[in-house]
Amino acid sequence: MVPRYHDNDNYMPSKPRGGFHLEPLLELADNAQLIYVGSLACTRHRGFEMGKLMREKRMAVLCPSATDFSTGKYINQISDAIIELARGRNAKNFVLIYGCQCALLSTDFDLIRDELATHDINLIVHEHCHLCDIHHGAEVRR
Amino acid sequence: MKRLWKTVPPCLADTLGFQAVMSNTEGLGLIDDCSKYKPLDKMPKRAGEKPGWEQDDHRGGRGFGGGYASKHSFASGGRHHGDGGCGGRGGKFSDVRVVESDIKEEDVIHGTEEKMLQAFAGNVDLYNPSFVIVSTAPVSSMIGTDLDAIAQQITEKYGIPAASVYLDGQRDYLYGISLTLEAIGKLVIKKPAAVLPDSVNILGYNSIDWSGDAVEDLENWLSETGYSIVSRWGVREKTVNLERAASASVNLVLNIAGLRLAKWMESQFNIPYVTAAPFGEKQCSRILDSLKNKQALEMPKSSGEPEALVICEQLQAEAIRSWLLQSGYKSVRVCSLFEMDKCLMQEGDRKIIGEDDLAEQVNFPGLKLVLADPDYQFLSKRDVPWIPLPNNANQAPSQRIENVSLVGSKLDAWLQNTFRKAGIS
Repeated sequence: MVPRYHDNDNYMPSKPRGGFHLEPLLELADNAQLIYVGSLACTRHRGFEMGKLMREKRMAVLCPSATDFSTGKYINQISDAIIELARGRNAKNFVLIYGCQCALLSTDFDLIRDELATHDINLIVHEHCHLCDIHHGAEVRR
Repeated sequence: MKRLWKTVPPCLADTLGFQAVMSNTEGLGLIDDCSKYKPLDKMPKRAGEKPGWEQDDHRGGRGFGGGYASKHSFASGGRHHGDGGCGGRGGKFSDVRVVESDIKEEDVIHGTEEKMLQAFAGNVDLYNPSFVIVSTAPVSSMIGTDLDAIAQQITEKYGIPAASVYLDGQRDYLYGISLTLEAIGKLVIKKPAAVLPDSVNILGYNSIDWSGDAVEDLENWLSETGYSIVSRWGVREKTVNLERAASASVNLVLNIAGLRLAKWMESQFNIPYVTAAPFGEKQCSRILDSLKNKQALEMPKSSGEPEALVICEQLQAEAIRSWLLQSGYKSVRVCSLFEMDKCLMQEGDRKIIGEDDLAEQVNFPGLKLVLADPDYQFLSKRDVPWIPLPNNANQAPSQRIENVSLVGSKLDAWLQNTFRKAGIS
């Protein structure tokens, strides 16, 4: 069963202090990969779960530099990273969570999703930062 | 691809370096961030260890944290949320001398200055800081929060010296430590009445890379060789000692994070500095000569294709390289995921900025030995002997390798013992 994914805190099996678990996000699609895009500082939240998922090759972390964010280069970096992961891990479904920078810059995730669709990759963008428990918006874009 | 971490978790960020320093001072860190800063010492430490202020004199900074903050610990009865409604701390977070502004989406539009001042007002009585360092975090750095104005208002309203560091949460912890130490130095160090002979400041000690044993060993070694310590920068230290740092005759930079402050002190107070980790008997002997002559340390040179690779903090790696070169290795490469000083790098050394970069280094043809965080071994496609190094800066290691004291001959003994166990000649 695919969990509810809109702005409702109740869909997660458990809500630890300070945020949600990451692993249930992988249930949003079959054989999904999780990618976090944001600052290095935010990876202090949910660190050990993140490390476990990374070693299991189910998650990756992209930390663009401040310059990458300022110049907009990070948008291409997101697509490139997902394409690289898709090839390396033979995955077609990705769930993306992001930090505050992407929200502040009103990142056009539709553009990224369209770009990835041309590579036969399905991207689910989750608007709730599962690291620090902040809502960036009210819905998940599929 | 640069900045993409696929199987190796990224390292601690600059803002956590800021936290590591501030939590070991009598000051207070005020950070313009939306989420909380938990005690770094939540990570496993040595069993049976006392926290922070309960330890004797200056031996703070064991493993993580262990600072002045713990005298206010929840266990001893005193934490509540700040009156300003922002950044207050409850019990579990009480070993942190960093308060966040707890900004929300609307603050990005209206500015975060008011939230920062509220957070300070709500916590000033609780922490009673002798100085304040304000810092940006990822989002506030993007909107250009004017920290200098905030620091000035704090000083004017409360009479507490305040300064700022501009961190963006995108860089490594040593960068954060380095900038924070420099900011504290510029804020608190006073002009000396006189220079004390055979006295030294220790710069770059930090509670992430240095264990309590190492701190103790280093101070004993300096004391035995006739040096008195004026101040310690990075581990627990009283503000009164930091203030009189300019009376030292020389600075010893034992972690790359102390180099910025050393350069500033040299330009400002004409205090020479020696940059090296005092690990290994021969290295210590060279350091003593350099301290005496007040000259830079000459490190043994490595040349040619690397036979061994060392990946860790630059000065620690330099000390290990030095030992390996003395032990018969002809060429040793040093890499670091953290801040590196180009002047101290040798041919082939490099700063690593992504997992692909790391994989390329650990799979370099001809390598006979790697000394690094065991998590990097996941990237190795060859059967190369691997000596695990302490990895407290790894955000989420598969196994935590605790810091050990490598001061003086302890490095020689540790490496000899480790090599023997691993069957490496």
